[in-house]
Amino acid sequence: MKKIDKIFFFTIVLIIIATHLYAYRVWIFSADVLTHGDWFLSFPSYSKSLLSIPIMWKSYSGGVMDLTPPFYVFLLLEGILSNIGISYAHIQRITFMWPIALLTLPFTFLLIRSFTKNPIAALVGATVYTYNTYFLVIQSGHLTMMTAFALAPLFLLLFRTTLDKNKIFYGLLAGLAAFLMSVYEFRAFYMAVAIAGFYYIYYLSIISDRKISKAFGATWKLAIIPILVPIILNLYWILPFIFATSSIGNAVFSRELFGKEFYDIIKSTTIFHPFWNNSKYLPFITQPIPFYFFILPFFAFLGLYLNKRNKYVLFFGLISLLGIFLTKQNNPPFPDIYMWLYTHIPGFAAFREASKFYFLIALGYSVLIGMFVDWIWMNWKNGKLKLTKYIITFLILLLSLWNLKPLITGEYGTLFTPRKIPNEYIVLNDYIDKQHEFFRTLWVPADSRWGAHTNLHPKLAIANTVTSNWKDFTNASAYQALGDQFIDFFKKDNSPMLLDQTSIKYVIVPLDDTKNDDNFFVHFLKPPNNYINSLNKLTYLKRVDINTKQIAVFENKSYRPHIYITASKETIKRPLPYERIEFTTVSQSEYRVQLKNISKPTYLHFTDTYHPDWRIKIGNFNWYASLFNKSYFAPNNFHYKNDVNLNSFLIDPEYIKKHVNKGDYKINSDDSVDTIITLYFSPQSHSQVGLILAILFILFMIHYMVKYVYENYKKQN
Amino acid sequence: MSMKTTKNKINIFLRKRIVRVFTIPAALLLMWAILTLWYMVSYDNSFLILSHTHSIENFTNAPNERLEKGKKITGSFVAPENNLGIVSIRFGKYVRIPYKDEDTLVFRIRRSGQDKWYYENRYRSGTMYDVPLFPFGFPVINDSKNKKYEFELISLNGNNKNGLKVSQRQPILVSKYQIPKSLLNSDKKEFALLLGKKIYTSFKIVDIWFSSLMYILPLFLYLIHISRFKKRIFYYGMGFDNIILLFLLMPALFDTVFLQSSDDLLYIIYIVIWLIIVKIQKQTSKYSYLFGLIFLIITPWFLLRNNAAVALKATSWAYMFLVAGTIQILIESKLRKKKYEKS
Repeated sequence: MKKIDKIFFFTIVLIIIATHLYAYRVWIFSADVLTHGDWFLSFPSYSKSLLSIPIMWKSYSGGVMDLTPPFYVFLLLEGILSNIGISYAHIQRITFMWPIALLTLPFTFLLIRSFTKNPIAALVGATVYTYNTYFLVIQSGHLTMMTAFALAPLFLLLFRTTLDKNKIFYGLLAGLAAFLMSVYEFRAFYMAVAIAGFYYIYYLSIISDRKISKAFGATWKLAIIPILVPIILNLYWILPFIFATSSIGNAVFSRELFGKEFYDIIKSTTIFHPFWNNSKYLPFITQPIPFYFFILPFFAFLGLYLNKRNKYVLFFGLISLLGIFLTKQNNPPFPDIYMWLYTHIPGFAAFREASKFYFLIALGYSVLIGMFVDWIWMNWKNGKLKLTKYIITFLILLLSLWNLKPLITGEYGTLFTPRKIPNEYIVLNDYIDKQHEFFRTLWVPADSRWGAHTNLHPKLAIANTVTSNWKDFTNASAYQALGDQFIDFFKKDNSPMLLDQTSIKYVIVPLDDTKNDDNFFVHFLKPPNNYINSLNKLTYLKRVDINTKQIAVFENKSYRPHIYITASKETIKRPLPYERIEFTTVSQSEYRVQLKNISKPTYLHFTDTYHPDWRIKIGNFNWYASLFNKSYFAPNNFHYKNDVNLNSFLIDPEYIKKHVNKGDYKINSDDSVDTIITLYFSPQSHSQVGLILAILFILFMIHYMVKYVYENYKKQN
Repeated sequence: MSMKTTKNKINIFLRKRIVRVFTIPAALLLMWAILTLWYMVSYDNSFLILSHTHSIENFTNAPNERLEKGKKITGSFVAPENNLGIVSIRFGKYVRIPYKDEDTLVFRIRRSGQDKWYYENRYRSGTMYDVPLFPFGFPVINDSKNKKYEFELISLNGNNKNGLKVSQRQPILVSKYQIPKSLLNSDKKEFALLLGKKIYTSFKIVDIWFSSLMYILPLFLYLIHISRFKKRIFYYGMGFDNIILLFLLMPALFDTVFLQSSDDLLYIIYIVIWLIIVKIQKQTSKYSYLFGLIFLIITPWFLLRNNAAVALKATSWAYMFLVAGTIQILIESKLRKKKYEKS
């Protein structure tokens, strides 16, 4: 590199670093709480409870099979950090914001650098990837996805190195990178693996000098390692999902396509996110495309043409074209193909809107533009063209950096603006946390991000429950405004029983948090006072004064405990007398319940959402034994979904006397039965088997990799 | 049988005179007929629907500006068939606006001279963005033949950002008629008559004859290829005066600027023809990328003029040319690898 080129390189490095650090200053240097949109915060009591083995049943949404089981790894990290006294503001930075802000650019630089010797080309290409509008939009709230995309270039680089160097060591490293991606966002992992698979086919047919069959024979074992590693390390949730009677898969994979109106081929070609306006973030409002967004695709495809003899560049051209085609979703040209893929390709149904495929375009364009810059630096060495290459390089850099403008000025808001918890929520959370028995809180119309959620006091939002557990009790189409539906819901005859049987002790109307840009009341077309006035009129709820001016809290005194029994079948039609019983919470998947003096068939109720895999074991319980004995638990016909869509079990003393080992229960003098039963979410056992296998595999990997590094070190010295 | 032997046998078969001058042209002609008929049916979503186009004169009021609140588009036509069930109007396609800002429109239709509207419904303007020739459907009118109908489209919230405007691109007004299935089962003559009508009415629609011309293009080019004009036409000029490539560019430009056809098969036929021609001419991917990039850079100009329909078409064609160019590079890479393996 000539001296002037070196000066140019270091100048753009300085510009990028300075701009980047200033744009991401809130993430990198401050310790403020950051929350916005779908990015909620966690309170210490909940964070600390995350230090455990993976638990397949979660307390949110009235109890549900874990919706995001791959998150376990970073949630465990959150649990560890929280227990050693690190604040959530720092935890979210360690787990998400710092990796995104500090790793995306270097990893992409390394990937592009593997195709070119020119560091300027690699750096400019890396800025195209790092500062594209889609990535900036998802940094407003979907940090799990963005962290996975930050790791993607590293995974692809390691995958490529595995094939080139023919070493298992790199395959294992690529596998670990893929595993980390899967931890943060399984869909990003899915895409990256698909790219790797595509690259492997391309490698066999185009890149490798050998015949396809010979190249395949020599490399297939290596190519499969980066896919096998994440699969084995994810067994702790894959196994329970395979063996569970019903899982989130049904819900996630049966959703309809969404967002057709936001996407089209122009936006995908120009890698322009439909909500991007280079100013304050306005979700779900389509924005016009500024003309300068056409410059990047122009240079990208020019880069492809100019480097057409470079096999690697061609691969990224194909990736870009594929990305453009998928990101336009079910819009012309060929609008029906996306729908076909959505219904026929396994796993594709997780992409009900196509924005995630912007990743493919960003990846493709970053390499193509990097190689375009490489070409002009190789070929424009003299005369006027020499100056032009500096101008074009700087122009491309400026186009990418210009997207950081709203982050630099602070107008972008979202997760780049520090937030402060309103004092009223501190009072409310304290009031709830001080109570030591289980109950739920129901938030109307939606839960505030500042209201604490714990396993002891889970939050429910009426906006969600009326479309899930309570959808049979109200009809959304009968109302013009959703707010009216929620207000009317409380007036229904069976609503008091619904609240009781779902263990809801408090109904809370939050405040309209305009200071934190979080006034969700507007979505439901009713202001807070409408809800408060309506709830005030109800006889079964009583307003309690907890020293808050705006947040209104109503108490439901007749709420049921988490686990209780009744003499007859629980019903929503009338209130029944019930009996509290003693129980111990081992985990969210396992409860130990003491039953005493059971003399006639009794109904045991567990106020979490019904799931067929909740089972009961009478007497001693061993999770390992439950895997191999089909009749380990009480038969399924003793378990049913009650009127409120929760779990109820019939406990029959005669069945116990006939079928249960004598050591597992006690017959009293009045012929009644005392016993201890375990209420257990059976997929948990499969999770534990998967966890053991994953740990053994990690130990094997560590052993192999340490040995490899040590032997290499010995060879070199 | 080895791959090589099969390939040789196919080559020998294709070189036979009868195959070259009769079988292949007949097959291409058959392909044209089938594809044209298929597109006629898919254009109306059914064989049993007849479309009749009407002219701009049928609009009694079609403002030149965007339809603002309280203003209306009105028109009338005489139904040439029984079973009138749809009136389609083509609207201009502008840059999409947010859902909450969309206009709401009331469409209504009645027989001319009657006081009461036969049918009335509300529509959001955003729906017309996805379907520019928007079909306003209503319960089928069985005895509509030779009767005059008038329709109105009234804007409830229109303004200069969300208002609709009748397009200038033909057809702008189409009435559609549902043919009862029973008619086909009862009489073969009726079926033949229907087929004749279907073909006749379909060819009045510019989209259909354009697609049909494109479907026959392979036959046309093949005939040139086997004729004595081959060298004059296929190899005349290999730079920017490359006559055949410039000729091929015309349909893409026409489709972009004037037609914006929704027939995706056009792209496939076009790109296949394109790839065959550039292979015959032994061209590199230069022209594919050149045309792709030209289409790409004209797009913002149409966007600035708020002509989303043309901008979308231009990008679609840009994409197709870039795909074609990339396929060419891929094939070249594959061939280089094969050569390397052999050597």
